[in-house]
Formats: sequence, structure tokens, C-alpha cells
Amino acid sequence: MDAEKIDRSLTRIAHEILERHRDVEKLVLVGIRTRGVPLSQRLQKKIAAIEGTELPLGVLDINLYRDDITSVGPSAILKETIIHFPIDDRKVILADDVLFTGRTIRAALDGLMDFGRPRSIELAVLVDRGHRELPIRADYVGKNVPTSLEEMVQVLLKEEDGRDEVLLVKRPEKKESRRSPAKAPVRAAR
Amino acid sequence: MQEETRLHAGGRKGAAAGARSGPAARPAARRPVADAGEGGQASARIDPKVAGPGTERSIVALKHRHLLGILGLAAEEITLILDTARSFAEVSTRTIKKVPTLRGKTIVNFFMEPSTRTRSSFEIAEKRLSADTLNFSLSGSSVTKGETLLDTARNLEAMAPDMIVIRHKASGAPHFLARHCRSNIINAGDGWHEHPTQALLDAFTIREKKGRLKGLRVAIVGDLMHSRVLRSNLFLLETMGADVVACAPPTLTPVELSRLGAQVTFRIDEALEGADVVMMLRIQRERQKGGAFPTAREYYNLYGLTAERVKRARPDVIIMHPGPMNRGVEIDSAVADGPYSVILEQVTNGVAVRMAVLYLLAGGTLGGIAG
Repeated sequence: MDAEKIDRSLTRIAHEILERHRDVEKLVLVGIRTRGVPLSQRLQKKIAAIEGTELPLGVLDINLYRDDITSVGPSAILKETIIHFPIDDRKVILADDVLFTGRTIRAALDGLMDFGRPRSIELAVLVDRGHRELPIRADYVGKNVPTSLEEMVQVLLKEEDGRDEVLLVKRPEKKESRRSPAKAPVRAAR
Repeated sequence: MQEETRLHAGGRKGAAAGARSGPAARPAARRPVADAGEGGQASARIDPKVAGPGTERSIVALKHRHLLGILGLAAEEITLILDTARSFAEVSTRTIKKVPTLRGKTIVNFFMEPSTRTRSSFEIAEKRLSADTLNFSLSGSSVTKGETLLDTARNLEAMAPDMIVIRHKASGAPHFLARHCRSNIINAGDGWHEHPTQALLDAFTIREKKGRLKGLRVAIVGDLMHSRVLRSNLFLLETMGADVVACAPPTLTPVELSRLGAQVTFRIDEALEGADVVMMLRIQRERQKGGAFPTAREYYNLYGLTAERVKRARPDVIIMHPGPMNRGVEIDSAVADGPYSVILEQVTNGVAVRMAVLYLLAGGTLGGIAG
């Protein structure tokens, strides 16, 4: 995926979100660190351009909610979670770059619940690469990419990496366990 | 390396009596974790081209599985702890002040010396991380019945705690425990030796206020002789590139202090001149049987921090104290409660810093311990 395709996908997702939610007032955006944050910011801009309303935007670091933190250890430096608005009775659109095992989203859902009781939570991702290990699905998908476990999906975004691109690369040979290894390096690339 | 050894030797001489288990334990403290969690792996896996411009190559895990002292911690590890603590400060501002990170972990708070601040700070930090805590203190414990430290440790260990936070009157006690226990050991103050989490929270407070540590002039005034807070702070500030000037009456100044890198003076006015940070140390009355100074009143007159003396420091100076304060002895109430004082912020920050330490040590656990 190149910069233009990424942009088109996000435009489409913005329209889909608005199509599904008539009353924009209840909507809030929450980006999952690291790359869900620029994605949610872009969605916020696009929705503002179409609808003229700037949605509240939050940032969530899911490291504290991971299920493997004490076995694998931290894979990235813990960053601040910033949700300055109440999410009670709001419709939360959660944004991340890649949907893979679903474990990150599970952690994010737990994290959000600590901030209140939202009316609903929906998930927007740029890439869905399959291989779910939990019953989780995305409501808005930029692109479905069938992958093998030997591959890694790397999402590069201008804000973090200097350019917009989605790459499918072979995972270097490693003896490590097959549990969500492909995603870890992408998140760690901070 | 030689420098380090030298510092180390000096440091322990300062710790003097009771440091019996120090030397043998040190290597354990500095022993690098065989595989520093995911840290090493993760960064090895990142393609530098993909990582993009401006990507800091910072470490994501500690290289140690115990926190026994500041000595032996690298600057990047200190930075990691401080950065992580910054994120944890947010958790304490939530309505639900709890994250599930250390769920199912058992942490023993093993406090063989009186402590209010440090113990409650650790306990709150542990609870906000969802760990199960067990408090074990001097009064009413088997230690008063004559049990040795090793036996107590073995019995604690038999209950399979994941971490032990220890405060002990003997320097080196945490190192001793680290050699005999599988749990992660955190030093919450050992004798006259070190109090690493205090130094870390002090550094965090300074960094929040000043934005940096490097190049700052930090005056440390008070009972230098008996202070583990001084030693930990000195090691940390040296590592992070701050200039330390230490001040006390000659009778409370250990001779080797200048060899540890601090400038030493016996005049408080000289120490305060142009200081960015002033750290007051408590006059430890319980350790003053030797009569290092005639009266508390004389000490106050010569070394007490008064509003008048603060004027010698920089206009944006911050005043710190690890607590508990002796008002009217080392610090005047007007200063302790005055505009420059960050003493209560230190306490707030202590929780975040201790959460960060617990989180980082727990993270390294399985990746770190050999089998």
C-alpha cells in the first residue's frame, strides 16, 4: 500500500463511520499507541472536513494491559495514556494500524473500561492480516491482507517513520515462539 | 572501569560497619541479565531503515533483575525508569487508579526499620499495579524472637513471592538476600549504604521541574555521614552529569566523599551559591549518640535552611527533603512550606517511580532468570 492508497482507505473509513453514526456528538476517537495515534488523528481531520465537527481524541497505551508483560517483558517504552474526556455513554472508535491476533485489541478494551462505560466500541484498522487468536473483528478495515505467519506487516506512517507505506516482509529466522512475534517488532520500532 | 571500582570502594567505606555482605554481593547486582527481556531482541529485530528518522535507540528493559543500588545502573537504565515513571504518573490521576499489570504477583514488603513514607509508597504502587502485597515488619515478627536474616529470607522464599522489597538497618542486606532468593529484590534503604528509589524519585522530581539533570548544580546539605539518600543521589547525579556540592559540619562529613566526585564544603552559604536544586538531609537523631554537634539549636544556626539563605541560590531553585523533616533543625518551616519547596511533589512522584521500578523488574523476570 502506498501513501495514496492509505489516504483513500482512511477517507473511506471516515465516510463509513459517519454513515453508521448519524449523531456525531456521541462519537469519540481513541488511538492505540504507537501507530494508531496518527491514524486516529487523520480520521479526526477527515471527519472534521466532512462534518465540520472535531471529535475528541484520546491516546491509549496498552502495555499495562498486555497478557504477556510478565513473561515476555516490555517491548516498548511505556508512554502516557491521555483520555481527557469522559467516555461514559460515548461511542468509541478505536483505531490501530494492524489487526493480527486480536490480543492488542483485547488489552485496549480492558484499558478503555477503566475509563468508564462507553455506549459502544468499534474498531478501525488500516490492515487486517488475519490469524486471530481471540473472537475479535474490525468494523472498519482499510485493507484485508492474507498473510502467512512467516510474514510481517509493517505499517510506516509519516508522523512516526517519515513516509507512508505498508510493507509485507519476510520475518527473519528466529527461534522465538510464534505467539504474536510479527507484530512486536513493529510496535517496538519506536 | 577503574573509576567505577574506585567509586565503589569509597562508597562502601562510607557505608562502613555492617557492610559485610557488600563486596561479594556487588557482582550479583551488576550481573547483566542473560537476555534482557525482549529489549535486546526487539531492537535487534528492527530494521534501522524501517525504524525511520529520529528514532531513538533507547533500551526498553533493564539489564538487572534486582534494584540493589544506583551504583551499577547505566545512564540509559536510569532514563528508562524515569521515562516509564512519567507514564505511570497518569495512572494515579484516574478515577480507577489501578491497572492489571502485575495481577497474580506476590510482593513482600520486608521492613526491618521504621518507615512510613517509603513503605506506604511501595504499597500503594504495588496495589495500583494489582499485585498482592504482604507487609512484614519488625515489631511482631519472628526476627524479634532471634531468627537470622537468612532463615527469615528462606522462610519468605518458601512462600514463593515474586518480589521482595527490603529495608534493613544493615548495609548490604538486600545484596545478601539477592544471593539467596529467587525473587526480584528491591532495596528500600539499607543502613548507610543506598536508597535507590529515593534517588530515582528525586531525579524524577528534578527532571519534571528543570527538564534535565545534566549540568545542574545540586547542593546536598545535612547529615552526610549516615545518609543512604546522599549516596544514592550522589551516584545517580554523577551518572547523569549533574554537579554535586555536599555540605555538613566536619563531624558529619565522611572523609572519602570528595573522592566520590562531590565538591565538599563546610559552609552552607558556599554550598547554596547559585544552586539549581537544594536537597536537605534529615538530621538522624537516632544516629546522633556520638555528639557530632552540641545542640540542635546550634546546628540550625549554622546549617539550617532559612529563607534568608535560600536567596543565595538561583531564583528558580527547588528545595527538596526526603522526609521526615525536623522543622527548626535542618529546615525552617517558612522554607519547607514556601514557594520553592517541592517536598510533597516528591512524595507523589515516589509512587509513580516505584510503579515504574516494579513494572520494569517484573517484565524482565522470565526473560531474565536462567531457567
